[in-house]
Amino acid sequence: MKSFLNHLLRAVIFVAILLVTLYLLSRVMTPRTNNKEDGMFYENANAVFSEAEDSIDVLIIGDSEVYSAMIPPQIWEDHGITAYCCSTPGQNMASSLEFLQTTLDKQSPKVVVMETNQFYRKISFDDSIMNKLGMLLPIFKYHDHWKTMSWDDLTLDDEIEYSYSDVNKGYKFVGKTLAPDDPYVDNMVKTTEVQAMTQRNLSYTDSIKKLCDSENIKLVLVSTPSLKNWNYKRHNGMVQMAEKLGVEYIDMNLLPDEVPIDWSRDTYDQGDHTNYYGASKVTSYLGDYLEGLGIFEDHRGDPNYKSWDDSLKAFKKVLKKHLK
Amino acid sequence: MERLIEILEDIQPDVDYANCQDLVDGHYLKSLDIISLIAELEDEYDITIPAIEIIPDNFNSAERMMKMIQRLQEEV
Amino acid sequence: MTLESLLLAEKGKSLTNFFSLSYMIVVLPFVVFVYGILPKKWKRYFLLLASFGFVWLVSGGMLIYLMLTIFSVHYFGIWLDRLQTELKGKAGGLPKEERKELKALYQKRKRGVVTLAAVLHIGGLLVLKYSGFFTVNVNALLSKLGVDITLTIPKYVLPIGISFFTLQAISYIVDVYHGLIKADDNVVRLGLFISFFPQIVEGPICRYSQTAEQLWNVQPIRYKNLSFGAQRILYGTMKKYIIADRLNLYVKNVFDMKLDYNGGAVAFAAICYTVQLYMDFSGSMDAVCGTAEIFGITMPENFKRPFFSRTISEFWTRWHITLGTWFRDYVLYPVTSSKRMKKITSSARKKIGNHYGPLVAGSIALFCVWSCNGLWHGSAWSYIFFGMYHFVLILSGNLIGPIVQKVNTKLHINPNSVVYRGLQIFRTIILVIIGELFFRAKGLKAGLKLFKKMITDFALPTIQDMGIDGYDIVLVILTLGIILFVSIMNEKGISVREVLAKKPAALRWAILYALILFIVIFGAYGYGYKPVAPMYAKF
Repeated sequence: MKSFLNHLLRAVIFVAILLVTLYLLSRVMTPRTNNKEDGMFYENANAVFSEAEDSIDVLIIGDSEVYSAMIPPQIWEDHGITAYCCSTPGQNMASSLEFLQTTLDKQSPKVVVMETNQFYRKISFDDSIMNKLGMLLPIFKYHDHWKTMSWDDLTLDDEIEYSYSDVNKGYKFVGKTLAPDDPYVDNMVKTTEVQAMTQRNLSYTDSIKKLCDSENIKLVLVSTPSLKNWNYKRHNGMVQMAEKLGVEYIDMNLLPDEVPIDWSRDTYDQGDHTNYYGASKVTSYLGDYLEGLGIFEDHRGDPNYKSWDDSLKAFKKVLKKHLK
Repeated sequence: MERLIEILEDIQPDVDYANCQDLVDGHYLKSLDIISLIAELEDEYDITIPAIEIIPDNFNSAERMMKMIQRLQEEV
Repeated sequence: MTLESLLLAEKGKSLTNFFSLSYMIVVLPFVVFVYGILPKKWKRYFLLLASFGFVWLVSGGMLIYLMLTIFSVHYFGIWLDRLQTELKGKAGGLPKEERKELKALYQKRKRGVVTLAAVLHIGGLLVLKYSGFFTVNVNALLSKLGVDITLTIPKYVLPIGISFFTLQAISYIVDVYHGLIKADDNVVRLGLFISFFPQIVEGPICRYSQTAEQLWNVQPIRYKNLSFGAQRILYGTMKKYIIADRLNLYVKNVFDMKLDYNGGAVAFAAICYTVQLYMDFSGSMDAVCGTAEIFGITMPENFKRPFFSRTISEFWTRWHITLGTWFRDYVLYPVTSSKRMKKITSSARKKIGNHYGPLVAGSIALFCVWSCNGLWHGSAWSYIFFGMYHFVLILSGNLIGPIVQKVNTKLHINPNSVVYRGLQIFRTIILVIIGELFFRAKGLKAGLKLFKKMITDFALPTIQDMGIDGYDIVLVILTLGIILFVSIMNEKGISVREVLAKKPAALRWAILYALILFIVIFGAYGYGYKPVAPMYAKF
C-alpha cells in the first residue's frame, strides 16, 4: 500500500509538471499576431477578431460553402449591414462553436447564419477532444508554428495581436468557371427519406442554439446551392432540425426563381461550390432576407464604419480586374 | 556427434556448433540450410524426419539434433 | 451521449489506430484500470470481454467471424485430441505390427480433420478477401477468350484483423495435430489467445505456446510493467506521428501521380515510403507490445532492426518476423518434407551436389511461400509481383552464394570486414526500397511506370509541390537519428530502457518530458493533417 501511494504521488507530480510545461509552452507557441507569417492558419476567417468592437451585425458560420457563396462587401453595398464569414475548409461543428464563442467576446451580432453542410460533417472523437485540448492548451492547436518562429517569438506573451484584417471580410473571390458535366445530376429529387445527424453534431447544435439564445441572437439555417453537398434527404433532416430548434431554415437549392443558379456558369468546381457569379446571386437573396427582418440599422455613411467602404472599394477593384 | 558437426560445418561454416544453443532462433541456420541438413541427416542416419519434427526446438543445437536423431532411430 | 456514439463517429475507425486519442486516453486507460481493480480470477474473463468489446466497437457485427473462428478451432482441437486418446486406448497391448497399422490409420484420420479445418478457415479468408480479385480476372480471361459472360463481382467487407487471427487459428490447429501442444478444452483460454485486443488489428501473429498460458495466468498491474509499457507506446508514438505521418503527404502525392514527378522525386518517394512503412508498422508494434507489457504479457517481436540485414533472406527474418516464421513453419517445411519433395532433394543432391541439390525442392517451396506472402498482403497483381520479386532475390542469393564465396577467398576479401558488410547492407536496403515501390504503387502498371520513370528520367527532385518542406525533412532525419542510435544499442545487446531505469529519477523524468514534448510540438497532427490509418490493418 505504501509503495502504491508512493507511486501514485509520483505520477501526480509527473503529470502536474507536464501540465505546467505545456501551459508555458502554449504561451510561447501562440502566434503573436493573426498574420499567416506568425503562424496563424486560415487568417482570413480568423481576422474576424480584428474587427472593431460590436461592429458586426451578422456572423455567417460554416465550411467552404460559406466563403465561396457569401460576399459581405456586397451586402454592405446594398443594405448597409455588416456581415462576416467565419468559415474554414472542412470546418466542423466543433470549430464552429469555438468561432462563435470566441467572437462573442468582442462582438454582439443580431443574427448568426449557420450554413447547413457542416451539420452532416462527421466529427471523430479524436477531433472533438483535440479541439477542446487546443482551447485549453493552445500548443495542441499551434504546435506547427515552430516552422515559422523566429528567436524574437520566444516569449511567454500569449496575447494575439489582431493586426491583420481581411478586406473581403472572410469571402474568397474565385472568378473562374468549371461547369459540371452536361446534363448534370439533379441533386434535389424529392424524397421522404431523412438523413440523420450524428449524436455528436446534435449536441454541438444544441450548444450553439443555447449560446445564441442566451445572447439574444437570432439563429438562421441556410443551405447554399451545391450539387455535390446537398440533397433532399439532408433537406428533410434540416427541416426537422429547424422545427425542433424553432428557427428559420432557407434552402436555396429549392429557390430556382429567387436564387437562379446556372450551373453551366456559376460554379468553379463542377457544382460543389459557387464561384463569384453564383455567390452574387446567393448574397443578393441573403441580403434582401436580412434587410427584410427589419432589425438592422443602415450603417452606410457612418464614419465609424469607414473600413467597410474601404473594403468595398478594394473588392470592386478585384472584381474590375477580373471582369476585364 | 563429431560426424554431425562435420555435416553442419559442410552446410554452413563459421559457426561454433559445439556450443551454440540458438542455431535456428539466432538465424545461424537459414530455412534452406535446414532443408539440406534434413536431406543429409536422413541419408547419413537412415531415418525419415517428418514435418512434425522440423521445429526450432529440435535444431537449435547440435545436442538437440542428436537427441532427435536417436529418438527417430529407435522408433523404426 | 452514449459511449458508442462517442467512439463510433467514424464507425470506430480511429480506434484501430493505437495512437488515436480515443485509444490512448479512453479505451486503454479504462481497460487497464478495470483490469487492475478486478480480483485475479476475473481478470482473464475481463480481458476476453474487453477484446470482444474492442472488435465490436471497431467492426460491429463482424465480431461474429472472430467468435465462429474460436468455436470452430476449439472443436477441431478437441476432435484431434479425441482421436489421439482413442488411438492410445486401442493400441495398448497390441503387437508392434498391428500397432503400426493402427497408427497409420489414425494418422490418416487426423490428417483428414486438420485438412478440413484448414480448408474451412483458409477458405473463409479466401472467399472474403480474394473473390473480388478472382472474379475480375476470370472476367478478363473470359472476355479475352470471346466468351460473353460477365460474372458479377462480389464485394465483401473484410472483418478487421481476419488476416491475422485466421493465421493464429490455423497455427493452433496444426500444432495440435503435430502434437506440439495439447488441444485446449477451455474455450475462454483459446478465445483469449486468438482475440487478445492489442494484437487483433496488426498482429503480431502469436503461437499458442507463446501467449496462451501468459494470458491465462494473468498478472496484476505492476509499476515496472506499467512504466515500461507506457514508455514503449510513447516511443512508437514518436515513430508514427513525427516520421510516418509527416512523410505520408509527400508519398501519397507521388504515388497518386498527382503531378508529373521526375525520377528523383519518385526515388525519394520510394525511400520515404519505405521509411514510412517501417515507422508505421514497427511503431504500431511498439504500441501493441507496450500495451501487452502493461498487462505483464510478453509478445513475440515483429521487428529486429531489419535495415541492418546483409541479405534479403536475412531481411525477411528481421522484418514482420511472425509472418515469416508462420510461412516457414506452416508452408515451407511441410512442402519440403513431403515425400515427393524429399525424393527430388535426394536425387538432386547426388547429381548437382550438396548446395544446389536441396535448392530444387527448396525453390519450389519458396515459390509457394512467396506467392502466399504476396497474396496475403492483398488481392492484386502488384502484391503477387512483390512476392515474386523477393522470391527471385532470395533464390538468386542462394544460387550465387557459393560462387561469391569462392571469389572472395580467391581475392582475399574478408566478408566480415566493415566495408564489405556495409556494402551488403546498402545493397539490401536498395533492393528492399525497389520492392516497396511496387508494393505501394496503385497496381502493377503504375508500379512499372514509376519504376521506369525513376530509371530513365532521373533528376534531382525540387522541394516544391512535394507536400513536405525542408523543416519536415530535417525533423525526420533528426528523429531517425534517435531511432538509429537506439537500434545500434539494441544491436549490441544493450537494452536502452534497462540502462535508463538504473539512472537517477531526475534524468529519467527529463527524458520522458523531452519525448512527450517532442511529440506534442513536432508530431503531425491537428490542422492540415488527416490522421493516417495504420498501414498493416488493411492487409
